[in-house]
Parts: sequence; C-alpha cells; structure tokens
Amino acid sequence: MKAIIIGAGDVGFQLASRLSQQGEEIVVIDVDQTKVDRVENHLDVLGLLGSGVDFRILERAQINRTDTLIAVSDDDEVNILACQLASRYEVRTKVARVGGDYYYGESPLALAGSLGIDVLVNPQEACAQEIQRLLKFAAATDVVEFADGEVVLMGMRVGEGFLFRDRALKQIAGEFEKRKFLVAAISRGEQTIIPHGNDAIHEGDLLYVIGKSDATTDMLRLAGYENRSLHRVMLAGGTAVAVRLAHLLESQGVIPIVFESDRARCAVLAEILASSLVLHGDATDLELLESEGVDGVDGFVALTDDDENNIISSLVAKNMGATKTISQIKRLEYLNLATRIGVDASVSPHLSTVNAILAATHSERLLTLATLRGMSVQFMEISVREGLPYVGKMLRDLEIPSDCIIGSVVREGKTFIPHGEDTLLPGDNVVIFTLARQSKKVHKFFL
Amino acid sequence: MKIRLVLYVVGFLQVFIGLTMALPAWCAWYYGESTLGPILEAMAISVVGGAAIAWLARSDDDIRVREGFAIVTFGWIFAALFGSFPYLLSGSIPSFTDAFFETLSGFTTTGASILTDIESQPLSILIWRSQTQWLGGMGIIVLSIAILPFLGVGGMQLFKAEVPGPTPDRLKPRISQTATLLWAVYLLLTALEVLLLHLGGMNLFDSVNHAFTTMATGGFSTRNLSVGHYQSRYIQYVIVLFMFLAGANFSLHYRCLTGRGLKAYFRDREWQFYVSILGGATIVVFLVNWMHGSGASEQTFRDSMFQVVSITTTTGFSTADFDAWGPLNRMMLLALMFVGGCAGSTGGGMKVIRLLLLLKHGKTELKKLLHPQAVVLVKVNKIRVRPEVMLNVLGFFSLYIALFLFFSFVMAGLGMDIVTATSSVAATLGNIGPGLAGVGPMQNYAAIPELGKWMLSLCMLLGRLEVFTVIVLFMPEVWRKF
Repeated sequence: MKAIIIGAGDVGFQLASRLSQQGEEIVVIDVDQTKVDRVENHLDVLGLLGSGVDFRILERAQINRTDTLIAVSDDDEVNILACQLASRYEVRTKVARVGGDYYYGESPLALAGSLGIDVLVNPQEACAQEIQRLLKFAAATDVVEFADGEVVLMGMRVGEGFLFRDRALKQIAGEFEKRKFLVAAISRGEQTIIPHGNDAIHEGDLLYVIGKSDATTDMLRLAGYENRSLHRVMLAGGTAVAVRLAHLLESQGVIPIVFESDRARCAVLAEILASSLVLHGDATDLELLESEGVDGVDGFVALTDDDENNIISSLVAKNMGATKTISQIKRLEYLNLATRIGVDASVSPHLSTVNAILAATHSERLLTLATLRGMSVQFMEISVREGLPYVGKMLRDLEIPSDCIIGSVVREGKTFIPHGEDTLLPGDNVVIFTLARQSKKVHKFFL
Repeated sequence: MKIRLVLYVVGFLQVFIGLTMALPAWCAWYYGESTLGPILEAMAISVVGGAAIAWLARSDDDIRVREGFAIVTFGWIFAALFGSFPYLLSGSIPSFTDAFFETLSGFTTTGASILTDIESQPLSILIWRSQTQWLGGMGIIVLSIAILPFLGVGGMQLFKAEVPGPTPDRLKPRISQTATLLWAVYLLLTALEVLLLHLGGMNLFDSVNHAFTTMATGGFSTRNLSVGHYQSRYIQYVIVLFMFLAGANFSLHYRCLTGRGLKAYFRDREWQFYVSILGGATIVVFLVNWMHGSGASEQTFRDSMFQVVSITTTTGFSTADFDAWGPLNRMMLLALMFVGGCAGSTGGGMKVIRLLLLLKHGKTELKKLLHPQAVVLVKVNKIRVRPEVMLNVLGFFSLYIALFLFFSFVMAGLGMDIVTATSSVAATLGNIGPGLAGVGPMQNYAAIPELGKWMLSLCMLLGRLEVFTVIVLFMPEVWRKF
C-alpha cells in the first residue's frame, strides 16, 4: 500500500510514523520546510515541500499509484479539496480531517459522497468521545474499545481497595480467568512492563486490563472501585471539544457546568448549548469552584487550549474533592507526566484523531494500531491469515516475542480471552498488546 | 553514542563482506590456484569474527544521527581490516600496512596500488581486488540498507552519510527501496559493460574485472599497463563511455531507464556542467598535446579524452603516461582531480554540483555588490537552493582544501618532492589513484614510507565519506554518553 499524508504537524507526523512502521510507503506533503525536514530526518518517509492541493506536487508524490490519501493539514478546506483532487486520480481511500461542524449534520455537503471523501474525521468529535468513555468508567485512565466494542482495554490506577495487592500474578491468575479478563501491562513510575507470572501488582501501579465488555464492572471492582453512574460533570474551558462533549453529555441526560473566562464566548456557548449551565469565570478560581460544588463532582474535565492550565486546574479540582479529573493535553511529552502527578486521566486531541484515522484506514491484515500514553505501549488488532507458522498451534508452545501478550480473540463473532491451551485459526481477529520498542518483532512474528 | 549498536551493525557488515569472498574463492577453485585455502580462511575470519562482534554487542536500539556517522566510518575501516586478510594469508601482500592500504584503496574506489607486478598475482586475488572496488563504488552501506531491512529509519542516517553529494536524491519513499533501485541500475550497467568489453575481444575474466572497477570509478586493472595494455580503439572508447556513465548521477540513469528517456539527462544542470567540463578539458588537453608535438592523430585525441575522463570521474585508469605530458596539461589534470563525479555517482572528488553551486554563489555575491538592494537566489534546475545547503557546500569546500594542504605538508615532511606530495594527497583525497611524479601512472605507491601510507589511507576514507562523516567523530560531544 502507498499513502500520501498532507500536513506534517503532530497528527501527520504520528500517522506517518505508525504507517511507515507497518511497512507502508509514505509521502508527506507540507508547506513548511522545517516540518518536512522533521519527518524526513526522523522517519523512513519521503517529504515534499508544497501545497497539498497543488496537482504538480501530488503528481510528484505519484498520486496515480497511491491507495490512500490522508489530509490532516490545519485547514479544513485544503483537506477537502485535496481529497476531491485525489478522486480524479482514482485514489481508493480518501480521509480528511475536518473540524468545522458546519460540514456535518444537516449540511448539504455532508450528504454521502457529495464531497468525494470516504472518511471524515472530526478531531473534536474523536476527542469528545474518548472523554465520554473515560467518564463512563470512573476508575479508568484509558478506555479503548476493540472488535466493535466487544473487547475493552482499560487502564486503571491500583488503589487501596485492590483485592490482590502485592501478590504474584500466577497466584491470582485463576481469579482473573474466572472473570474473563487478563492483565496486559503494568506501568510503574517511568517503566511499563508486560507482566509475567512472577510479577506482582502494587498500590499505585497503573494496570492495563483487557477483557470482554460485559466484564468491565468486575474489572473495576477488582481494582477497588465501585462504578458509579454519572450525575455532575464540570468542563473547564468552552472550546470546540467542550461543546461536542457537552452535547454528548446532554443527550445522555447529564447537565454539565461549563466554565469559560471570556464573556463573549460565554454568550456563544449559552446560545449553542441546550441545557448546560455556562459560567463566566476561571476554573482555577477556588471560590467559584467551591461555590459551584466541585466537592464530590463525578467528573472534572479541563479542556482549555493551554496544557499547563489544564493540568493545574485538574489538580486543584482533585484536591477539592472531584472524583475524577481529566486533562486535555496537546504536547505528547506531557501526557504521561500529568497522570503521574495526580491527574486521573489525560487525553490528547492529536492522538485521538490519529487513532480515529488509523481505525478508519486499516489495511486488510492489520486492523488497528494505536498507541497509549505517548509511545511506550502499543496495541494492534490483526486478522490471522492462513499459512502462517503459528496457526493451529497451542499458544503455550509458541515462541512468541517477549514483552507481548495476546489479549483477546474474536472468532466467528464470539469473543474470548485466550489461554495457553488455545490455538489461533485463520480468520481470527486478535488483539495484541506490546511495548513500542518490541513492535517490529511482533509485526514480524504475527504478519 | 551507543557503541554497542554501532558494533552490532558493523559486525553484520563484516559477515556480509566475508560472504562476498565466495567469488574469489570460487575463482581460486576454478583456476586451481593455491590461494583457495587462504581465501576460505579469510572468509571464515570475516564471517565468524563479524558474527561474534554482532552477537556480543547485540542491541535493538534505533540508529540516530551520531550512530549513523560512527557506523559508516567504522564499517568502512573494519571492511578494510577484514578485507585485507585474503592478501595477507595468501602472501600476495605480506605487509599489514600495504595490505590495509590496498584494501582501503579498493573499497574507497581510489585505485592507488602498492603492487609492482600486477600480472604475477593469482587471478583469485585480482578478482578480490576488483571486487572491493565494485562493492565500495555504490557503497557497502547502501547495499546493506537494500539487503537488511531492519535498519529502518536509521537507514536514512546511514544513507546520507555514505551517498556522495550535498542532498541525496530519494527515488522512492522508503530508503531501502531507493538503495535497491540504485544497486539494480549499477548491476545492470556493470553487466552491460562486461558484455561490451567481451565482445571487443577482452577475455571474460579481464572484462569482469574492468567492468567492476570502471563502474565503481575505481581504476584497479589486471594489467601492469592498465587499460593501455589493450591497444584497441573500441575497448578504450567503451571504457571512456562507462567511466562517463559511472561519474554521472545514478538517479538520472534510473529516471532515463524508467521512461523519462534522454531528457532526464539534458535537463539536469549538473549533468550539463559535467559534460561541459569533460568536453572543454578534452579539447584543451588535446590541443596542447597536439602543439607539444604529438600530432593531430585520432590516437592523440583518444589519449587526451581517456585521461581527462579517467581523472575527472576519479577512476584512474591510464592509456598514456600523462606524467610525461607538458606542464600545462599536468596542471590541468591536477586541477581536474578536485572536480570529481556528480552527486549520487560512484565518483569521488568534490563533486560537480558543489563546484556549480560555488560558482553560482560567487556570481550572486558579485551581483549583490553592484545592486546592494537586490534579492538574488542561487537556483539549480529552476529550484532555489536552500541557504543551509549552500553553507554546507562552503563548509565542505573549505574543509576539503584545508585537509588537502594539511596532508600535503605531512607528505612533504616525510621527504617527498612537492609534486609527489600534493598530487598523492589530491589523488587519494579525491579517490582517483594515480597522481603525478613519484606516484604517476607508470609508478605506484609502494615507495611511500609506512607513515605516509597510513596518512594517505586516512585521506582515502575522508574523501570517500565526504569529510564530514569522518571528521565529526573527532568531536568530543559525539562520544558523550546519554
């Protein structure tokens, strides 16, 4: 497969990095020379300087031999136009990042096919949905769904109430098996490990558990959390993501409180939001927070455009008694840091977009490949082909690369968590969990 | 600097170099030479030694910029070390210094030799000698990028450090594909030359050897008189043609072969300049030789053209003793030693594109003097040259000249006369081979003192890897651990 990516910003860079790791031929186009240099120097891809709607540049990128065009520049119109241009060259899959909400819904342009775009990805929508999932599971730091939502991967912090504290995994494996889930990874301080039987779980660890979606309540109870239903949510910052999230929450029957420090923006928010309460004020204002009842709030989501501000306001809210705090963080380097210093969960609008695009453009063998927490852990969904050496053998007999775990298998519509006696058969969809630095070996083994 | 990672990749390279010794081993067996045993031993040393280094230092880190420089430089030094075993073990070249010099001269496609009687050497040793040039021509690292896909992103760092020219051309998005295509073109042209030489009456063994060393712009011959041994007009013109092709940018060959046709060449500014230099120099040298009393014969023209193309493309074959020519022509050839091939060719020297950029830069400076407000850009092929590239070229030029002066002083200090000292440095730094006077086409490097040979070896390495890659390793911060 050959792909052209338009826009070498954070999203374009991450996409190029993932796709080229999978062995795709990638050409990245951007108007900024420094960005082009960055992709060329860090990735095994070709960078071209120029506009993504310039047919001469696209032809130099050999668009007539390209399967996929992904337009993720900062400009909606450039992305749309690039996709339309690409349809003249018979590019099979065209993906555009389009942020303007006026392109969706009842817009005449949104009618299927009229834009000539196969997949429209709305970065606000992708991010808002991720936050919604995180709010749904109060204890989760990360929630990722696979196999049409049948399998859930959840990250959670091990609290005081954890039933099996300080015991080796092999001693508690039976309990886990009975509940149909398994521990895929443990993150402790800066280190992330794929655990073996002798590793134990300690208080403060970040635990990644994979299991069937009907077992999620069990998973959370195990970690010492009771899943509570969502009643009160506060949103700090009236950005586009906040608006999307507020709409999602409203449709769920929750009435969010939105803090916005700009009066004019408040008026706009009050107009477009139906039942939400819009407050003019800063979310780091302790008195305001206290008087609006931050103590005991089910969710506090910081969504301003300023990463530092989001982290601080989340910490403040946590300190004042918010049950769960979520920060939107744009700089990937901060993602890990925020959860380590006490923010319950962090989301990156760029990573959400990247993951949404990867899920939409999956190749036939590799369904999704996404990354959590910056770069340290990765998971991928593959479909097993006939004729590979591991097919039909018992898992315990396979020499699977170290630091890699098979999380779940979907076979003929049924999902199960595999054990040592299970085998992989052609047609299975398998979720594999691995460390980023092992991903090459894992690829080689499974594909 | 991750030293383990560097050793790991370098170890792999040695296994690879060792495996290529199968060709000389096969030759030794085919011709029934006594060198079969020693070559197999050398092969075992390389394969086992390389594998041991790679295994002991095994590492799964990613290659970054600094590792890239170290891998390329040490890869080449180790290749010359392990590659010298066939000479040492077979007794062809008993001295370690000489064997190392000869091997590095091979890999860097210099073609400076310390052998006095080439024709007395076993054929299997001669093919190894030519083969080192052929491997080094397109680059041992580029070949390994094509073959070892695990280099991945790091491949780009290595590619940049080995491929000549200020900004390497990417033919395809993936660097391993680009490397494969370049080697494919290289292989194709080599095969074509073998065929054409053989059709011209050269025996197959010599055809293969000469094709190896022409396409690499190396210049090792299997004959004491170099190409001059073959008094055939056809053979000499064929070799001129292939020296010319080897000194041109291989991306152009690729584009020409993939449907762009001859237009690919004619529209390229560097190629135009390359042709003008060769054409202009041939005419001047021919006229001067004519006036010097050689007569206006086809032979004079052919000799002039052959030496000009051979020196400019940094091949270093000879069909005439150009050291016996008049002073103007000797000066011409000395100057041409600095030109070299095009970017992305197998040639050495400073590269045509750099000279073109320097000239254009000089012109813009003049324009700015006359029109202080003028905005003038350096453009090549209608595209603006980025200031970083221009500065890099200026830096390269000054370092190259500084190194040339420094090593010339060292050689003079070792007792050589001025012409020998300067031309030996110019000929090794530019990867040409023969120089003037004491290292002229009818002489060789055997008489250079031991220390001098090591100095010139360093020149060859600096020249092949285009100075920066090697010199950067002398910066202390490259070696800092973090």
